[in-house]
Amino acid sequence: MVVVVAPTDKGTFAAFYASHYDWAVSLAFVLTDGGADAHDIAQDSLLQVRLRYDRVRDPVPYLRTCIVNACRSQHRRAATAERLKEAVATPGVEYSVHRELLDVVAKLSERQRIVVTLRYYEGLPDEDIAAVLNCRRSTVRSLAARALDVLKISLEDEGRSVS
Amino acid sequence: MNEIERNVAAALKDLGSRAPTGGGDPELLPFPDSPMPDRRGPTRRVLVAASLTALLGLGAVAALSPGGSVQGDVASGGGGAQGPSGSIATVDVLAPDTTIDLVSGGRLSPPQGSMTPDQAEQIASSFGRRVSASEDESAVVLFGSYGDVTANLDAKDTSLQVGPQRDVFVILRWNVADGPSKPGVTPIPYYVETVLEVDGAGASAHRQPMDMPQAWLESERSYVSEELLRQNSTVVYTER
Repeated sequence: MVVVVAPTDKGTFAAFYASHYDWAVSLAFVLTDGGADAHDIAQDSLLQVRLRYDRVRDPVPYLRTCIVNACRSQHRRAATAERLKEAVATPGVEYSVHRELLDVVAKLSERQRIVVTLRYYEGLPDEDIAAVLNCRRSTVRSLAARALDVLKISLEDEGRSVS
Repeated sequence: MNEIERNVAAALKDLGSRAPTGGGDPELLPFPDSPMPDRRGPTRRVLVAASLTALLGLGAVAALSPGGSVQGDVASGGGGAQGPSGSIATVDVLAPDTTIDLVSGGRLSPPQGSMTPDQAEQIASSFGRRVSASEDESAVVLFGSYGDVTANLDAKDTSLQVGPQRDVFVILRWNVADGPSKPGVTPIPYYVETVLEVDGAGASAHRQPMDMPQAWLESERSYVSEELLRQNSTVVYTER
């Protein structure tokens, strides 16, 4: 289930926190492929928002960027240590009927994975994804196209019919 | 959307639906305007270098003695291309009136992404500090940490700013680029896994990507266990 984050009129940080915490966790959870650190990433990212809450006009994109950056860092750490790799496996996710596809997504490059997640999980337009990644829209389109090619090839290799 | 896009969306939404919910508590966040902890008391401070040292199989040890000298030992644990994604370990030691002297140990090989001794010397001297490094050990730079210090650390002019509240600490700066760098291009140390600072209140880790130095300054904190410290840390002691 995608948690839709409605445009916010900001309000107090406590209200923002309450209304966005679960969303932050779910986004971190998806970006880290079911990572066990989703709560920590969400909390850390919300801390970043809190530190600038008075200065940020719309805290949602800021929070999203913080989460993406935190997940990128987490991914790098996980990629360098088997211990952390084991830590990101979450019981329950293994039994997903989509596990096979998620495994392929997890093997995409970091930026490809972020683009795929923000596009197909968050439903963000390419312009907003470009803002998160600090790149051009054409780069986002390119990353998405390459990611879909990889997914298609991988799934075809595994005998799944895709189009 | 074509079929594969629909499948990806469905898979990600399925994964997202399994995300844990609840449990957040804004009260756990520190007040943004709370003062930085006073680190200038008489208590002994224990600085614990970051955990990636052990995880990457890279050795980095620095013994700090403010006002005295520092000896650092940086070992890459293999060629630069041999580590994860061509990782390069660098160590920054920040201490007032301290000199770094690299001693035996591995070399950063290749030293891509690191500053040459001349560059390091130039930067350090601009802050009234000194750096000592042999010709082939290039990545250790000393900065003073009293007063605001800003140093450009890489080709993209990423700034590392050190506020006046901090006195002594060690930063392990990891350049885990997506593969070895291109010739002539300095990789960006985009991630800082800094210091675990231990005092009577416990240990805290400060982690922040290099592209958010201000956020790092404002001291993100997450508490770590003693076991984690024991397993994955290089402990550095200092007394003031």
